Amino acid sequence: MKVNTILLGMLAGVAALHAQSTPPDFSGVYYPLNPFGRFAATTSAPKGPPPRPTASAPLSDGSRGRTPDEPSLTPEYLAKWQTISKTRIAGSPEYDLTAKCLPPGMPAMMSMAYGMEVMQNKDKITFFSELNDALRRVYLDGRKPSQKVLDDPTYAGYSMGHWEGDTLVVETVALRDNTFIEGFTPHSDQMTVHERIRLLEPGLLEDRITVTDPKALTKSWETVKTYRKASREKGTDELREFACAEGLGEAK
Amino acid sequence: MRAAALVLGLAIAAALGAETPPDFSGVYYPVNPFGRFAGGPKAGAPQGPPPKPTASAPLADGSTGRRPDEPSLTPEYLAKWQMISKTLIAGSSQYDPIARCLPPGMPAVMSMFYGMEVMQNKDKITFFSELNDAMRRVYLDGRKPSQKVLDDPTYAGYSTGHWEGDTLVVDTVALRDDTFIEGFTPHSDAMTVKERIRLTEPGLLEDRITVTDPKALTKAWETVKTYRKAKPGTGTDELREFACAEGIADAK
Repeated sequence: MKVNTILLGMLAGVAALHAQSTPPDFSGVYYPLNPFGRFAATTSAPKGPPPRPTASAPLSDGSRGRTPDEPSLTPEYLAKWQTISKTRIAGSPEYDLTAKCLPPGMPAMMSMAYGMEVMQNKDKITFFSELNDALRRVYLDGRKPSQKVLDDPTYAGYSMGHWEGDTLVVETVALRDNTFIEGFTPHSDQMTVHERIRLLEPGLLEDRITVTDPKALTKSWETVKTYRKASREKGTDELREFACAEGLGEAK
Repeated sequence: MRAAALVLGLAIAAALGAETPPDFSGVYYPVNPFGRFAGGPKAGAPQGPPPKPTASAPLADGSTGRRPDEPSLTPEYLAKWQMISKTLIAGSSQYDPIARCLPPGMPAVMSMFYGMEVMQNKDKITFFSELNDAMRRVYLDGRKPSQKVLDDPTYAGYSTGHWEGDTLVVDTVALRDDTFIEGFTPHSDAMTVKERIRLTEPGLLEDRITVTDPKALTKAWETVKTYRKAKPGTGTDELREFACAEGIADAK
């Protein structure tokens, strides 16, 4: 009895230590609840299909202007946006990275419209986008980007993260300046992205994203993405190879 | 009593340890991307740059024929190979998936020339090829491919694995028939790939690959790839985004 009590006490102590020091595991396949939205999902959201788009909904070519909740651009970058909008209204994919089989780029890639696969260990967490087979890594081992990395920006950028309790806090730098924040909102080479990623409840992952860009934005811009974990039972937890360039080959 | 409990605890820990498979996670570079020999460089192997290619070395376009250690093709697939060789000698990239930004496909992808990133957990292990940003998953949770997956082959195929001691045994099916076994050796839709992956020493990963194809091969073909783990702090354990379609976009 005495031994059992001691053992139980030790087990409880070990379990408590374990719970405190072990971060949650985000590994799995997820689908976005609101790939195009900016609002955090709530568990009490109405069920059923989403409402039909209204006639006043903005079009993705920008022909009806910008919505108030889109990033607030400086005059220089608003003019850039207008140029890109004109090419899109004309039907040109010139500025459309996705149509050109390029990675969507941070933070747009976190829309994860086609599904997201997360793998995680102590030192690293990877986010893979089915759309255009784009991989993003977040280093968790305290490393910093080398000068070589900073001089050679990428679509995904260079991401470093650390745990604050159950929340993964991520900073992303070294981003190319020819990608979009969201939709086709441009940004400068000064853009950095801050994220707070956590499980709202088991199987519901939230990414609160803050975009800062002193050249392109008049103020930092925030968005929230929410993803639901796929289940093996429903057979939805297997992403498919995208192989975007198949389309390029056939189009020639 | 207390001592007995301690002994029991140690025994349980030892048993658990025996059941925990090795962790392959990390960034690796191939020791012999073009070779077929196990174990990497032998102790006492000559240091310094490799010898210059000789005039009798086989060319990558097949103009000097096939080597005896290449897969042994049936007449139908040898004719296919000869036809592809002609297009390569003529300088065409028609049959070159890499030049067209397509995934290299199994088993060729396991050459991993540009580096390989492995992430692993209990249920899955992923192998990511820096070359053409190609992702490959191996499911470890006992699942089997659905009919939908079997009817819709991919470059990476559908891989299921299990541990035999410290060796990961992987079977891959549902492979597209327009990829290459290695180089530009063609295969049929009946190709399957078996692998035995293990650490031959800490930081040295070996993949023994057996390719079976009753239509294209006169006998099963074996190859061995060896990869050395990149060390943290050397700057080599970070793969770079490949974004192959950049080249296509620039060429347009």
